[in-house]
Amino acid sequence: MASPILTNSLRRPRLFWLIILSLLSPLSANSSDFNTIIDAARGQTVYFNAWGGDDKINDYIAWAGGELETRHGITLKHVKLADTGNAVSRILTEKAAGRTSGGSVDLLWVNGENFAAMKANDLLQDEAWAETLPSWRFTDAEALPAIRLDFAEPTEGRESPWGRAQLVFTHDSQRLPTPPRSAGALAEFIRVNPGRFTYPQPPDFIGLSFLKQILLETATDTAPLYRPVEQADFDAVTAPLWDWLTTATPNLWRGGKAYPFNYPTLRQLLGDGEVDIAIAFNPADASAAIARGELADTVRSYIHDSGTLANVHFLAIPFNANAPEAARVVADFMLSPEAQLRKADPRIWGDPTVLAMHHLMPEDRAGFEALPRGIATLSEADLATTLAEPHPSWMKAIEVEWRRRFGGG
Amino acid sequence: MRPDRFTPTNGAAIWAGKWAANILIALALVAPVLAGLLGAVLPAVGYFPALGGEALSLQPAREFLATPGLWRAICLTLFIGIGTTALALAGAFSLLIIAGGGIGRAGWLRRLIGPMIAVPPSAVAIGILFLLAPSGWMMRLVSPWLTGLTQPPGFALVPDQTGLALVFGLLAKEIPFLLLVSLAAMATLPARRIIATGAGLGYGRAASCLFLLLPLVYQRIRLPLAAVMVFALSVVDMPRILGPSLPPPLAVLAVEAFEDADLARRFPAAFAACLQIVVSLFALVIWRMGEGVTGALLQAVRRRGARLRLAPLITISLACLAALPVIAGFAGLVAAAIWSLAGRWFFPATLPTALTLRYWERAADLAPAMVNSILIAVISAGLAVILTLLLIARGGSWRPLVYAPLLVPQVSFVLGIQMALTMLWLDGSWLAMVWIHTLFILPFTWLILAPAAAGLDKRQLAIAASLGAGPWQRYRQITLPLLAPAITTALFVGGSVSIALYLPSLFASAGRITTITLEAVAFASGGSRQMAGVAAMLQLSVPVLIYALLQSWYRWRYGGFAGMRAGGLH
Repeated sequence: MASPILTNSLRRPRLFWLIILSLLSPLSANSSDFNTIIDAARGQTVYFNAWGGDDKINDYIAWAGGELETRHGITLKHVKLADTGNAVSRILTEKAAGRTSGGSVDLLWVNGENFAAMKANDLLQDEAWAETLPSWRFTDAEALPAIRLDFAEPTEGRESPWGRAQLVFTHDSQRLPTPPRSAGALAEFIRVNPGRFTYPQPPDFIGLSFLKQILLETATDTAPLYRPVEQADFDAVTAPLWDWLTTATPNLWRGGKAYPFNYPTLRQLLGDGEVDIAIAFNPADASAAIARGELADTVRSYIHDSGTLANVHFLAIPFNANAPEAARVVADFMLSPEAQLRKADPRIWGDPTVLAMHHLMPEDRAGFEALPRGIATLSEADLATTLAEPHPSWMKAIEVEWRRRFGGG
Repeated sequence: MRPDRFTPTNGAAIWAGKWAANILIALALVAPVLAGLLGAVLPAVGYFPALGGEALSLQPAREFLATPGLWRAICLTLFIGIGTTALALAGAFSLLIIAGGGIGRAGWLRRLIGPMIAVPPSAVAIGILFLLAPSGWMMRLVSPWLTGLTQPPGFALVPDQTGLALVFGLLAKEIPFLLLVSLAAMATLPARRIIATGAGLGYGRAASCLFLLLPLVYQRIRLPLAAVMVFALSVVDMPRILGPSLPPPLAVLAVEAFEDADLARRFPAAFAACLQIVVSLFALVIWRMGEGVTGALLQAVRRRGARLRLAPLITISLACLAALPVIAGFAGLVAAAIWSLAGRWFFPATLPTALTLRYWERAADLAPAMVNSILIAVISAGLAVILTLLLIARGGSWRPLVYAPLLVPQVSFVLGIQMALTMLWLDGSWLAMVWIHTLFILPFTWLILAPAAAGLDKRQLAIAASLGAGPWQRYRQITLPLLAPAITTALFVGGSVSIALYLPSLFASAGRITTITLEAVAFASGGSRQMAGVAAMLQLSVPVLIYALLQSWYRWRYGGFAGMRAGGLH
């Protein structure tokens, strides 16, 4: 530890006691454990399988790789994926082939259904490692339960939180000055402006998320949505959603006879002026697209008054990772205030932090408070109303029913 | 059929060589294809222990057969496969006739269409969508000065639910491919004499081609035609862009099931993959029956001595229609090139309103991936050609296995091979990468080289033998040089196929070896047309380079041979 900082903090009595306390607490045992992990990690190579469709994110991961190399002697290789499911397939194949160590994936960017499937099929590290990371102390699972509940699935410490996402709508303020801010208002907008709205076709993740959003807004009782779908009367609970869709579909883009295949395609339709509203799962998405020249600079984002779906994305270590120690060190670094601050900067990436401001050192907190917002990014206060993700089993059931009603032609 | 079969009379060396060839074929071809097939079939009947499937069951079949709209999806798939093949054939043949029956003047055509073969299908689809969409380039060219529109209109040609837009997009890829293989087949025929014979009997050029020349060409391109059909039946990325999607074709349903995060869906997905094989075989049977009917009709017309005075007119109009998708494909590529430089380009601007080099600056980071891609393409195309020549020389009943990578849906085939590679601890190695690429190139090198070898004039070998040349000398000095045009074509097509492989590379490389297509597909998954544009240009650059190199090598090596000058790179 650098001495100026130590002497500086010793001058402040409260901090002094805090340090003494922390040395006596169980946390210190953890950090000494973690030091052995850091030692073991030196010289290892981490194959980090993560979506590679955004050059800002790729640059951020490359920066983290440089830092990890100088600090811990870890080589971070970003395996750029078009679809996380392909990495899950690879891990599954390795399990089927009896490869219990020396696997090809060390660290995986994952959440929701993919995590639930990996957990259920024993494709993850057995240990509850995530909450033993030194950086875990900067989070607050009381204030942000989603870091322990991934789409209502308990993480049990088998994935470490990385960033937050929230469903946001984007609109071109020049063409549509006052966007509809509820499921009801959206239905009215679609009726009055036929052909100017659509959503990505299920089974696309964002398309299904949009359906869940409408269901949460229109359902008479949302409590059953947070339990497995088998325990509920699916038809009764989801009836308002199908009513909403049956009315809206003839007036969707292309009369509901075609849908964009995923959300980037939908964003393109907004850029091309074919629709007036697009959907994204990252609050900074529109700002980034404006900076890239894909959306006009008059595009803004908004959320529905009752709040929108929010979730957390994570880093997980497969059961057969070749460098599990180094993978933990990487996950810890990614959760550190320094890395989280850089990630939250819209000029770098613009991914909201999972850390709790009240657990940070004042200077780190100040850093977060001083972050600029993107031109089309809502403030934290505007994003404050969120809806928790329903139990993952609903996703599948809604997809099957959607296919039956709208997908078969 | 086999111009140069080794005979056992040539002693131990040849005997050993034959066994070496057998072992090579078994290891490189038979073993992985069987692994791929097992990987496709076993989960379809409920067997996949890693997911708890320990016993055989019909549950996967039941589950997938309950998919809403499945039968419509299957009919649609058949329509797209057969329709694309028939139209591509008609288009390629009519272009062939107006290009002079492939005699002499076809060189310019070849140079123009060669690179088109190497364009990734998704790039063609994105280009055509950008051309024809209501907010697309065509509309931007006439807006707002002609249409008065500042906002795109509501009607749409693409994406469409009938599958016609998809067929149009597929034709942009397949007409050039069929033209290329037809020209290659034509080079082995005395086309000029055949047409002269027709003229002597009082038939016009179009009628001579149709009655005399094209049936001979057709016999030689049946394999490539089958490949066209199977590709149209199984393509996944193009329908996602051009439609239909309610329901999508069968192959898309299968891939969706494989991509489902719920791993239990792998069982019905595997069944879908097997169903896809059955549908492909069924389509081939329908095509075979259609061949019989068309052949009989043609013969009846020929017997009656019809002069087909309308034939030139029909051919010219057909050729014009056939040129449309190809031109659209080119225009789409031009659009992709412009997009790769576009800073901002909003409706209704005809050209970008701001330009940027930002995306091309990123491309510099891709140099290592580019080197890997070139190495893998060159090595595996070379290996595939050698393996094909071995298979041709050796004969044997394993040869249909060559087609397995085309017939079995890629995602299930690749998973089976990947399992075998993982068990052997070969995943992530260069050996695995080259091996899997060779396997996927093999159907194409085979369908180019096998008919060319079958069409060789055996009398030349007999003359060489009578002059005392042994089998190896005959092979090296007669057979190989005569096959040179076909070999260069096979190398080019093989290299192009290798460059474009995504899923097989993703699995075999295990993230250890990166290629230009792995980077490009990840790069383009963010959905920006700018990035997709750069990616398409990068993917295209390697095959074009290979094309130019092979073309000049061929000129240098065979330019002095009068009889082969017409060949060039087919």
